[in-house]
Amino acid sequence: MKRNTDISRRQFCIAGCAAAGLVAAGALGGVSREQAHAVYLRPPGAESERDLLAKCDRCERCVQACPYDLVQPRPLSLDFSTVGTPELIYKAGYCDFCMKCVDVCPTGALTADAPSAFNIGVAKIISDACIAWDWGGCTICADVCPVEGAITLDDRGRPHVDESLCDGCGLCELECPAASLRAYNSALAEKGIYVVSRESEAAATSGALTTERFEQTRNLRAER
Amino acid sequence: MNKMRYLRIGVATAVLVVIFACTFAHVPIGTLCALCPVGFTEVMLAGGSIPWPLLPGVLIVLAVVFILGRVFCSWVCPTSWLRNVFGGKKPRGLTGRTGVCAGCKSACVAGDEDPRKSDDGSAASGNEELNAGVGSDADTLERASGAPNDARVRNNLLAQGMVLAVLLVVSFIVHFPVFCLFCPIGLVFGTMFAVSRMFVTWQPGWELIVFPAILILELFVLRRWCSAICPLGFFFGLMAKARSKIEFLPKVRVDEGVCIRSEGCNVCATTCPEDICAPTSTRRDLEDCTLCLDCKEHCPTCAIHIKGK
Repeated sequence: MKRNTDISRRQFCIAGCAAAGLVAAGALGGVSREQAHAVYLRPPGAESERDLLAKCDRCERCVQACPYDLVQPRPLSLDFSTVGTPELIYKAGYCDFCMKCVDVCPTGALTADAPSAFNIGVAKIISDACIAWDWGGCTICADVCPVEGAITLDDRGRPHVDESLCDGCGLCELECPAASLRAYNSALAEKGIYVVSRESEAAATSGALTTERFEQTRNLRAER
Repeated sequence: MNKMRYLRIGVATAVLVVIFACTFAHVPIGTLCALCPVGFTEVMLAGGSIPWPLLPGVLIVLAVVFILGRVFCSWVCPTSWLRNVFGGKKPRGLTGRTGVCAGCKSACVAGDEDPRKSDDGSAASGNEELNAGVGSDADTLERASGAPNDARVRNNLLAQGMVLAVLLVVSFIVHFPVFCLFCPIGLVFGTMFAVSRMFVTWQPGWELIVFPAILILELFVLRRWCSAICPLGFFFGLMAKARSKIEFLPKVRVDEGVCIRSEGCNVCATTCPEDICAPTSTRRDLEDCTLCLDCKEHCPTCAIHIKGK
């Protein structure tokens, strides 16, 4: 039997290189995950950061389902293995727990019985960006908060978040007018209140955070 | 001219447009990733549980490929769409050929087209290539001797299977679906969703540059992507192998009474993106057929029909 393996050998080389590339990417992705200890604000119903990443096949159905454009695919970053997985961005609206993203998820990455289904994250006050903390007079986050008692004002008119009550709906973050009430300062966070993942270091820190501390700990997995 | 190619571009564009429109209309139909057999197995191994809701879509895709052949590859896959749109005038198929009939190189200069130069020398080496794939021995026996099909570069099921096995093992170990980061289909949708994301956040991401760059590398530098790497092609190849044994499923059939191959006609072979010479094709050759219908369109005597026996 005549056997010229030239072409199929070439195909095998290509496949071998691709396989090696996959192994390298997997190793790099796995290592970068371990070192980054990254967590992101995920849509309701994610069991945990690790679980979501294992199960999400980036079909983007949750992104399409969200009526308020909150669920967005993660951009490419150094933590490249998360690219395309859903995260919540409170720029166009807030979450009313309509559960459409959970209903359409075909992979089980978002499930209705996960603890985060009704508890997306927790709001954190940014002490130097918040108008009420830095100066005074603003009560908007406490006014709009749909959960009674989740944001309370102390005797100096500063908002505090009750972390056991906050469900991370993001209405406070959406409505916070801090950037428009203050002269532009690139060193300060744009908003005075942000929702972060409950797995994050920022959520594990009690009380208000400074902009610097917030940016360091927002997507950092809390050491437990 | 090239009616079918434009039709294929049209169909694949329509799929992308529908998915993009659904993103803005908030209709959760999902990308093609929601139908992906590779994604299904990856998620199953990485997540440690069977994603049942994915299964119906996956089975439907496999059933369609079983009944109609690898129509996904030429009519729907965004990879073929990119190759058809940006790949120049010559047809590009699974093997990444650029319009050269490997086996009839010397004989096929005649025709209404400009003489096709062989710029793919390796593919046109003219030697018999015995695919290391499953069941090749039986196919060798039924292959017509001296046929142009002997020199074809074939879809390499074993190479694809090897990539699939490696990616599944890696996905299992690192607990995330690792191939989804590289899949050209996923990258096309990734670019698309990066654009839609930009309309919400007004912050363009690096993926708008990086994803197209990886796509160009995969499709136009690694021209054998579809035939030697694509793990989706492994599933489709298995389906094609199974369906090639079932006679009543629609396949390319040549009306021997009308075909003028004996007079030197090679049109079907030179237009076929997979290098298949239809009149001399065996079952094994037709496994690689993506039903792109280029041969049917170009056959001067209309000898080619798509039908079951």
